[in-house]
Amino acid sequence: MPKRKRKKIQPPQKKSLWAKLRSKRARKPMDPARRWCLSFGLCLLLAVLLIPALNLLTDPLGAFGDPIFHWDSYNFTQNPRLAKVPWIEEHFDDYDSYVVGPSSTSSLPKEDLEKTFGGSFYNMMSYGANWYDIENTCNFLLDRDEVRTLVINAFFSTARVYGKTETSLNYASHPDVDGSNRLLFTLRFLFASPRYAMDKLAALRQDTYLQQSFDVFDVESGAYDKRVRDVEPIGSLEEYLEAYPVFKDYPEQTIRLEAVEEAVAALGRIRDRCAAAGTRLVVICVPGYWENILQYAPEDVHAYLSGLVSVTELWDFSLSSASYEPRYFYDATHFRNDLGRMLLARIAEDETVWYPEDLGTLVNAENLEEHWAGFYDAAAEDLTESLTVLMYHDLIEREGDSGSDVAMTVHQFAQEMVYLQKNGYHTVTLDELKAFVEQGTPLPEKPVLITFDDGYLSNYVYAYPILEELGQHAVIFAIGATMGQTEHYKDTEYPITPHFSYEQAAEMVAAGCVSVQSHTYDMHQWEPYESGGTIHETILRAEGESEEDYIALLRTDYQTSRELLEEGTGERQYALAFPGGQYDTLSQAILREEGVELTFSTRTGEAVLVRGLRQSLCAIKRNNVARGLSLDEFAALLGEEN
Amino acid sequence: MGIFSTGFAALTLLGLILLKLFPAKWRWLVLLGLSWGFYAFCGLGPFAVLLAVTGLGYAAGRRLSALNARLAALDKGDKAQTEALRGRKKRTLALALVLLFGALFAFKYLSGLTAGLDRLLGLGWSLPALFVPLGLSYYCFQSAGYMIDCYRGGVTAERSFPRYALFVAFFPQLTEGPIGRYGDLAPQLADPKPLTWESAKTGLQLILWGALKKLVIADRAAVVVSEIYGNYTAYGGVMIAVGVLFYCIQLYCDFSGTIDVVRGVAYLLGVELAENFRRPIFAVSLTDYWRRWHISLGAWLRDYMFYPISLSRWYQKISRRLRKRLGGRFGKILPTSLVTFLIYFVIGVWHGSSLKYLAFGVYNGVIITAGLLAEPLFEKFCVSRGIDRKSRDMRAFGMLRTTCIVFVGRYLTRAGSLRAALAMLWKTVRHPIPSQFSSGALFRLGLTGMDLALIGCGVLAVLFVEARTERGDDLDGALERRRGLRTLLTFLALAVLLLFGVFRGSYIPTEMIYQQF
Repeated sequence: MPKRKRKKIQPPQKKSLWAKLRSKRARKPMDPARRWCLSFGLCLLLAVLLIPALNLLTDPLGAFGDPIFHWDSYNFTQNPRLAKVPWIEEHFDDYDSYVVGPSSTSSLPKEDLEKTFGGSFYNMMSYGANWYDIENTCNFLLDRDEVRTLVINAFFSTARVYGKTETSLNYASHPDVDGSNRLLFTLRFLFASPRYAMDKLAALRQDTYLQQSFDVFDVESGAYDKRVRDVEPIGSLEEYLEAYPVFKDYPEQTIRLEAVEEAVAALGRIRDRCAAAGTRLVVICVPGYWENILQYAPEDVHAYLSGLVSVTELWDFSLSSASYEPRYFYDATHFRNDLGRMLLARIAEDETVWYPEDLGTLVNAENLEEHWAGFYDAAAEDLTESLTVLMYHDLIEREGDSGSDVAMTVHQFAQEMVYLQKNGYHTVTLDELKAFVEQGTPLPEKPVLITFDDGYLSNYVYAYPILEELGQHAVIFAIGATMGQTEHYKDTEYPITPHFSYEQAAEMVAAGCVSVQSHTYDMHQWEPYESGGTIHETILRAEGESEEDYIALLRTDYQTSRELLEEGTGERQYALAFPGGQYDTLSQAILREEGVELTFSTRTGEAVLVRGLRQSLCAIKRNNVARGLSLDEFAALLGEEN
Repeated sequence: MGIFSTGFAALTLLGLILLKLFPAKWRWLVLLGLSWGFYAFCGLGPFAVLLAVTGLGYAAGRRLSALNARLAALDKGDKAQTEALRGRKKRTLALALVLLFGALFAFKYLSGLTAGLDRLLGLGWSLPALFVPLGLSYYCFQSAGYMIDCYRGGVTAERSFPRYALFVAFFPQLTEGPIGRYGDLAPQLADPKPLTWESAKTGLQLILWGALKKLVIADRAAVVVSEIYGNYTAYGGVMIAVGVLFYCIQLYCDFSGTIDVVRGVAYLLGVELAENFRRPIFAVSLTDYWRRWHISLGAWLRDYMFYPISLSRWYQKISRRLRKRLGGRFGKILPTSLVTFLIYFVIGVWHGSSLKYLAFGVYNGVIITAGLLAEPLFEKFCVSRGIDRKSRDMRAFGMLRTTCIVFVGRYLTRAGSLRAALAMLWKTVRHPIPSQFSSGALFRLGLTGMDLALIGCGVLAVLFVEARTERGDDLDGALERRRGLRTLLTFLALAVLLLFGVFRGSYIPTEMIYQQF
């Protein structure tokens, strides 16, 4: 018993915890299997904690305020129901009016909502919202903010079902809105699949200036960022149906509205709350593509409309001639912003914006049956106008004279102009094209647009007098950097085909028959003549150029061109022809931001303009008039049949 | 409820808790309760089938053992009585096996067969598809093995029905195998070992390793596989071969991963299951491959088909006659080859009833038979050239050869039909279009670069571990000496599993969510 003896001899002394542990360890080496199991448990715990840590830090669905990346647009895209809530809670001061509804609500542009209803609007739309979401969102807004105007999009789809329909995290709502359990909410998002976080990290590396499918929201307005959709060139119907095959073979089905009662009851409660809060309530049923609208069972639609108007009056835009124009839609339930603009102009009775005459009816209990009697009467109308846009470059006095490669003789040009006049063609101006699209002002009979690229002196010397004499109009797209240069290419020794000067441009503009617009300031460079730096033969981003540098360059270039031309000619600048006909979405979007309303490409074919659709003025097609063309060939170019 | 579901994890956890709570003599009942509960949860119809099969096996076993006992008690001289009893035994076993495999056939193959006949002959009718009870093939084979063991007298039939029922239905192995032997399993199930640190370690390691193989590697590879096999007409031969390679990876990681998890769970519950895979990548011949791949099935077929047939009196007679008629080496080898051929035919059919599986069986049978026939020639060749067949190079050659043979076989088992499989093989040989591969088609198969990197690293890790184990290295012991590294690896494995292993679920890819609106 030596052990016991020793214990007795030694006076009891206080041991620290560590010492105790150490002595224990020293006495008994741990079983390796046990040690492994304990370390496994520890590792498991740590690894499990890794997921909430990752989710908390990357916050891929916007549940925790995205502490590191603050990438609201991404979070909104992942789950607008959820991610918009903390954002708007921080920005209540900036907004006093809201628009609520499913994703089609996104096509009601903020500026047009504000023009129509006043105030400062925020779009609280969310994916697939039904009246359950709408009421929760309205209550959330009315509880927390003094709301001036509340616009509800009551499109038919909102009455298909009622309640939470989707269980995935992309559809989960915020506890502040649906009153769900906060702890469960937090746990759910903390332990979300790590793939969400990985996707976000991957997307970070691919982020660009324009939106992509992972960051489609414009944070300030709460709506989809439509910069890309709004510059998509739209022309002929055939091409559109090719690009959007959904309209070609629209699937057949019958859609029932199963939640009419709940919808009407919810609207009743919202109306009462708005009345108590002094909030103006506007209920809109947005347009749908006709085949989609006809799929809703008529008895359900009638029940739904009459239910809604029994509560409050309703702007019904669902079916009109606009519904029959696929180009107003990018899928059956999502219309383009310009149609949203038109319907808001209809509400405001804004004369400056064109809209179809049968677009929208203010329905109330009195006129409901009358409205219903004519509900399905809408039919397609031709809302388009086609014209040929002719593209010229340089002119020479006679065959064999020096000039640029694309020069044609004055004689040919004059003959063609005379042909136009004799055959009843009207040479239209850019303003007329714009007025047709924006105000619906009809174009004259047999419209044709004459354009010149580059700004050669020959345009001034030869073309201008002919146009003036015949009373015709033309647009010249001049390159800023070479304006007025008659001998050398910019500051080099290379010879140049002479270009007209700002003074000459001003003279032509003042005469009223020529408009001088931009062909960029210096993005139509000729590589062999350039030295150093990034060379741009077209408006596109050069190889190896960073997106940021490119955007800055494009902006500066256009701004320089615009300032010099406006200063030099006194004419407003709003059109541009793409050098070499090259363009892409990014260049279109940047130019749109810089105030360019019409752009011209070199895609050949008839230019088709659509009333109300401003993007039909994007990348307008032009037909090049080649040197040596016979008059018959010229007539064919104009679309005349022999 | 699959092995990789929350439900299964919960069941295992519940099992562990209950085993801890109940006294030792009740533990087997806990396992039976969980197993039956698990199976009943999967569907009452399948549960009824399970009960019926269990009942059949139990009754047949009892009867066979009783007959054995009577035989043993008989006077040795009473030949007539012995013969009569043996005949009854034989009839009993035959009846039970016919019933058992009849059920297997009815549920698994019948509707497919009638549909096939309908297509072939235009009968105008076919049986509607019955439900296929989960794990039916496994527990039928297991029951058949038990009955044959009882017949042979190798085991004495279980007296208690519930104990026997546990042998049939033990839940970790019920759905995915391995096919257990009564002699190995029953004593363990009757008295499951209490959980120790050692068994916990082994179990958890198996589960972790298996889950990594299945969830991180196999489920990812499956995306590429279904893309290429599903749209093989769109791909050139090189891409198709890539698809087959991914399928090999998927199949091995999926199957062996699942079995590892099954074995791990069984370990935790105190039961040691047999190994089902022994590093098949290192097989030096196709025969060797089938001894390493799905071992429990191969062993079952060897013990309950190959030997009984080749040692049976009638077959001996046939082979003797064949030897006499053909003479020489061929006559000697042919009888064995025929049985071998039959076994691989059954292996093929085991996988499913369609034509491609038959072709798969024929393919394996032909190659192995050809191998047996060519063996003496090869041996002579090696001796004449002075080639050492046991050398490293020859082993490597054997491995490469086997890999190629297995690789080609994999065209058959996964393709939509035999015709598609042959078309894919043809394309691989005649229309490789390697430009497809070099132009980055690999990244357009539904996986990101990250996913492909994970598969690549995962496969390397599996190969490394298997190579070391094949060499006989004690990896566990080596790591025991480097505890820091081991902890780091454990943590990494768990982190990878949690971050990259949850491949399915309610997640909607980023690019998908907006496209709906």
